[in-house]
Amino acid sequence: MRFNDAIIGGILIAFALVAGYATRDFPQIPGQSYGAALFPRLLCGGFAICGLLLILSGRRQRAARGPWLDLDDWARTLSGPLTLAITVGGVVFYILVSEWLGFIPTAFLMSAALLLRLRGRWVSSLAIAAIVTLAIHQIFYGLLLVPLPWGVLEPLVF
Amino acid sequence: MDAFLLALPLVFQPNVLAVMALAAIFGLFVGSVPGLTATMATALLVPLTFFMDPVPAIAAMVTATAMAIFAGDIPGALLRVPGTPASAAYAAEAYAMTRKGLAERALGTSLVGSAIGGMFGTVVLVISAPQLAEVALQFTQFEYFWLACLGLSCAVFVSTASPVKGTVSLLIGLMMATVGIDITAGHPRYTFGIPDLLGGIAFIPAMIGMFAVAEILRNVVSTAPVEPPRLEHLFRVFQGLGGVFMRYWRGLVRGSVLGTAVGILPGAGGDIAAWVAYALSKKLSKEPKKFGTGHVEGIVDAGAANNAALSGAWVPALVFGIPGDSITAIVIGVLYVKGMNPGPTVFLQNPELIYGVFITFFLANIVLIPFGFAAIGLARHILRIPRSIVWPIVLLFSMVGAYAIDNSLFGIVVMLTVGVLAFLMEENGFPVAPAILGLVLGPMLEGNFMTAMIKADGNLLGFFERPIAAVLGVITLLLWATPLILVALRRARLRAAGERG
Repeated sequence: MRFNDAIIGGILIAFALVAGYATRDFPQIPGQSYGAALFPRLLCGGFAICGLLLILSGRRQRAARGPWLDLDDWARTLSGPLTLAITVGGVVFYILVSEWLGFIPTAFLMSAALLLRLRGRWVSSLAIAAIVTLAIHQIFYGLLLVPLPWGVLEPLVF
Repeated sequence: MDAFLLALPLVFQPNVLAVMALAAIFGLFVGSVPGLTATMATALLVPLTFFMDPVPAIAAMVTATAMAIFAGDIPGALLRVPGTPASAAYAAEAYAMTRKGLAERALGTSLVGSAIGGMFGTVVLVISAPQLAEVALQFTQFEYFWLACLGLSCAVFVSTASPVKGTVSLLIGLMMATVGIDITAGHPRYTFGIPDLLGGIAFIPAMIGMFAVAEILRNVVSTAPVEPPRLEHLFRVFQGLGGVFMRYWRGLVRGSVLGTAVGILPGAGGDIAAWVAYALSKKLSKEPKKFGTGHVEGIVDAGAANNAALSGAWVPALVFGIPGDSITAIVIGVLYVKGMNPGPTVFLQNPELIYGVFITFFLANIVLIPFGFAAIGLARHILRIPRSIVWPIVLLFSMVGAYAIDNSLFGIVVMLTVGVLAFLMEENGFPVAPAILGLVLGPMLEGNFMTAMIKADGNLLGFFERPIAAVLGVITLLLWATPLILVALRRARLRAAGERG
């Protein structure tokens, strides 16, 4: 999934403008004419210069008949983006529900979905998801005392 | 010497040795699974080391990475799929040897070469680091500012074909480092009112995102099936190696020296060391035509170089707190989290810790031989594990690791955001190593810059008043000017050619 350099350059310049504008109320160091804004502004300047250079190289790509967006093999099919969505979606799902559903059910659902997507075999995928979830729970909750949430399994705490 | 004696009992403790053994097994596993890199091994170890004392924590990371860099050669030789990028330079060569029936020779050479190269890099580290630290003690903010600039600039120029994209990656890292309460004025920057961001973007979740999540995303979309290989004569691994190393001892020395030097250079690690060593070996060889046909010579050089680079990278990391590669960038981040600021003062205040690192390095490179041998024997089984199982496990592990640092879901949010960003960056040809260096060095760069500005009363010439600072500054400025000079030269040459034509 390669974008033409000019698109990325444009995004970088826009970012530099917004991030630079956000520094307007950063305070100065007492007795000096600069302060908390100096370093971010220098970085924004850097982003803007790199953005311009990328726009120039993007124009060269266009002149050589390069596309605006070059899709790799995986992105041309439906299955690649779907796998990507399940992977990222799984993490988002975990962030949203793990506190009340609990680590074990959430992690099991998430990894089972991804395993199923990648392997396509029901029984072994569910079994692996269960083993992995319990093993990681044991390592982090049992050995390292990380307070992974119990959620709905609270009454079963062991 | 006293510090050395103090360090011995710190390392030779049952629990430290057990941690090292487990880390070795972990490193060998991660290294030999294609797609899982040595950097990822370190990233995944971090949440675990977080719960350890400094010495076992460092020992675990040193051992795991040394093992992972070697183990990357195993699938390289057997399947032509390098296990880590550091083995990519000679995977085709080693695979050509396998097809000639010389798999054991290829793996034996890279195993022993790795151990010797790693040992050489360690010796350089042990000798040079304390001396450099003496010098570094004289440094002020001016020198550190230039040193950080120089290190970051090297990272940009070394890590990628496109300096512009490398610079963007570096700027992204530095920009991420500005988030949170600013050090000079105490003002919250870019926090969007989110209290979790006041302390800055948590380094460890960001790094897990960059090196584990991005890698997972890249791999799940394209899981090509892997054929398990065959190894028939395991015990021939060490056969005839004496002859190989007698014949190509120059290459071994060359690879070790070159690898250490590349490792010391900030931003360049084992992968670049291996590419340069392999290319140089071919150039200086008496039989360059044999390269690529299953010839062992290049493997001697490059196999030694990538492990030497690993030790070399610790020189600037320990002495100046400037990482030599992405692995030491992670280590420095961990040391900061543990409240130890890497730099010359560690040599004065906790010398036993430094010697502990040295001893660990020697130990790791010694046990590399038996552990590596066992890994070659088990390779068949490791490589049979379907990668479709590995990725969900690594993902879950990463999430819990990112959560465990602060016991906060925000860690997972950071991990995912940075992971998706790093995935998109790499898809578009932006290297991620400069970003992680920028994130680690950002606070140091800005802190030294602001203090130096105040000291010099806003006068930029003040940055060149001290002799060492002036030299470092001029070198940095020259380095920055290089691409401009090159472009100007190319233009001039084109114009001259145009006038002639």
